[in-house]
Amino acid sequence: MDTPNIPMRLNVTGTVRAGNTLAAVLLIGHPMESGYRTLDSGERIAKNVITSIRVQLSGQALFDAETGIGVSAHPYLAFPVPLPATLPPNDLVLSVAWVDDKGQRGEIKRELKPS
Amino acid sequence: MKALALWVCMGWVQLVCAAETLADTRTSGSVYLSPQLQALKKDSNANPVALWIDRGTSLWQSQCQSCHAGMDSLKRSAASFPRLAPDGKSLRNLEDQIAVCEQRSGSAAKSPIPANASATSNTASADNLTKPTFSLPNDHEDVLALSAALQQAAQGERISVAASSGQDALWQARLQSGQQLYQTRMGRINLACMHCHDQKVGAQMRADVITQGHPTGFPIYRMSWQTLGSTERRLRACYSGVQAPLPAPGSSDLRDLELFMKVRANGMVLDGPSIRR
Repeated sequence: MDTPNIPMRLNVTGTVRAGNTLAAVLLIGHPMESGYRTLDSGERIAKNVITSIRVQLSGQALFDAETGIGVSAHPYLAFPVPLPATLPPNDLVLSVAWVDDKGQRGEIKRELKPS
Repeated sequence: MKALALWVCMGWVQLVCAAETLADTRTSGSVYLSPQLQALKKDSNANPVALWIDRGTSLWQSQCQSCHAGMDSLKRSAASFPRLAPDGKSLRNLEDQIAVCEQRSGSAAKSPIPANASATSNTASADNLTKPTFSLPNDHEDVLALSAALQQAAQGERISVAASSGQDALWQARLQSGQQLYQTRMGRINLACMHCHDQKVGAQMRADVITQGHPTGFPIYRMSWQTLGSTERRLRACYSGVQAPLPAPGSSDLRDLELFMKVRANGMVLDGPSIRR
């Protein structure tokens, strides 16, 4: 299910060099609806939060995060990206994919070019 | 004679200086932010407002750019709202104007603007029941996104709200109504805006410091809302704070009040979109 309405930002800082560690900052414009809020009419707003975030570096899992209602709206995630001891011939790609309670998915990628 | 002229001149310079120092006592609400929130505002990687600015910029490119040129061409204009509609019947803030514009271009909601939706009377009670003037409310995500992007472009502009030619009498009436609202006690707490935002500036209210209430940084990302909100939403939160009946979104009371507050902040630098606790 495509979700064009949920904006994402992924910024990576640092020098792309073998063995280096980069700093990544992820921002997802997700409402993270806890399920405890109600409309003025009294109707309960259905729970809809991001349940898992998968971060990969060129297909290799960096980490999987299980998230729940404890994470605020518009989640902010900062994490280190350790680069391998030898860089592959192709550019490395950092990708983030998430899925929420409604089954909506989002993905964002950044190519890491050696500088 | 020359000496007298010089003396008069110096006196005039002193007067101007005095006036400027008076003007300088007005401050944006951002100065009361905690150092952490100020740092967050400056950090475009972490600032959640960036999500709306991104979205607003892409909406602008897909829907607005064909008529308006770059966003920079509208920054003076963004600093001059609210304005009276050409027919003089309703007062439009920036978000209303964005909604009207989207309707005109047919790119968003298709429903027509209800005739006679607002601004037929300035009395508080009757207007509380009026429906929103435009089909897209101020807090519609797309409207907020465009507003945030425009305000970002207008950062550093000075607020300059004035009557358009030929609308002076109507405009003055709305301004006076706004001033009256600002000075009228309301709600179970029985306070007017001025009791806090003129007379108790800098005092602590629970964990917050009372600001001068100048609308320089809207739309704002308020931590307690966990989302971006318009001036209108903030004003409604104040009504709720003094336990007064909430005016409907888009009601003319809210627009009159916003007009008065913008005129009160005339000449101040826009520093939005901003962050609040």
